[in-house]
Amino acid sequence: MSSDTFRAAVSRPSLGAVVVTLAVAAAQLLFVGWLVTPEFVAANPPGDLMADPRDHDALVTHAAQTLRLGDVGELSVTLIGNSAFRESFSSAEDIAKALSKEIGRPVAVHDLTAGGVRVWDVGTLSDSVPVGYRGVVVMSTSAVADPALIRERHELPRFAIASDAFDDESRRAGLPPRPRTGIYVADFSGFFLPRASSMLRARLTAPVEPLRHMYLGRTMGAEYRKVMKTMLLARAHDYPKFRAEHYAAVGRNVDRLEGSKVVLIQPPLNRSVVEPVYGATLLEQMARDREELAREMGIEFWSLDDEAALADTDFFDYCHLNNHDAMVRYTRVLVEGLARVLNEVAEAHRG
Amino acid sequence: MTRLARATGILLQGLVMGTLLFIAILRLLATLSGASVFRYQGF
Repeated sequence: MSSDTFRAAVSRPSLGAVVVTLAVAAAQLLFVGWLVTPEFVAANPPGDLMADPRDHDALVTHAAQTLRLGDVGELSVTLIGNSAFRESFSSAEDIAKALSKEIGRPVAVHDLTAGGVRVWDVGTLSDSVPVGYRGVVVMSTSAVADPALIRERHELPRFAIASDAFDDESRRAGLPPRPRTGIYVADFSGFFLPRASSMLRARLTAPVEPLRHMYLGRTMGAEYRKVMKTMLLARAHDYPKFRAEHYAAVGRNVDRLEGSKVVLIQPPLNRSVVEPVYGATLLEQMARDREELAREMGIEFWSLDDEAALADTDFFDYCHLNNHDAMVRYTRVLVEGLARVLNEVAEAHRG
Repeated sequence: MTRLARATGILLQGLVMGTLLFIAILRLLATLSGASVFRYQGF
């Protein structure tokens, strides 16, 4: 008799079942809102957050939250920038290991590099550097682009990182800051919703294994070369129009890191590909603009291609390295520079 | 006994349907928001 009652209660709709259904769905939504916080992101492996091995935005979000919530007292390096910078060094772990050996004490390296990072993304990522940060922030230059393009990021943030810097840049572009509820998953629903199923899968099975380098052993195809040339021509056309606003934004990014040692870096550039499109004059102007900005801001500007002895054959295209040997050479030169600057930082803190 | 069986049945139905509703809400929101994982094309 009671098993018939149970079967009927399970299978037939009833007001009670509707109430329980709504309560369970609401409870799960509330649970996710309570569970997924920046602390949760930082405490779990980055692969738990990634949709696939190439999901560098999730990787960077994890690294940024780890940096933000980590120990500001530790000696560390934060690398912020675009794909050309990401592909230039072998790994953050290699840099940390080499630097720790050079300095004689543990050095943490936070890798905040991802493809297609614009100047306003650099602002967002720089905002993760905590106040009182004891280390060096290496910020890569990024493509000079129409400042109005910030609208795309305003509509759909790429990183789940709350940033006053980004709000400030949005405001300057005439966009109101995105409203915040204080609930992390709700505020960054555009980041979490497309990753919901992969996050659940990763927790039930295993975290996604990140693919660090995307161009190893690869060479450009004819179609890619054509599209790249069109893109470079557009950049050459845009540069004189937007350079003033772009470098003002870079300056604001550096300003916001007041108190931290900042280095501006030009990631590897394949001159044999870029020069025929840009022309030598524009390339020289670009280099001059960056050097001038660094001088005005009182920071160092690094361009390490010659020191790392990069050749045309070390590149996949106009800026991405395609072989481990070149990455190792570049990493070695980068570590030399970082060791020198870190020693200065450590000395200043001792004094 | 009958009341307990009925309550258990309703709870079980609610638990399953609630979970399905939760998944459906997430999928609906994902579709409506138009959000997607950023794919870097090389530039």
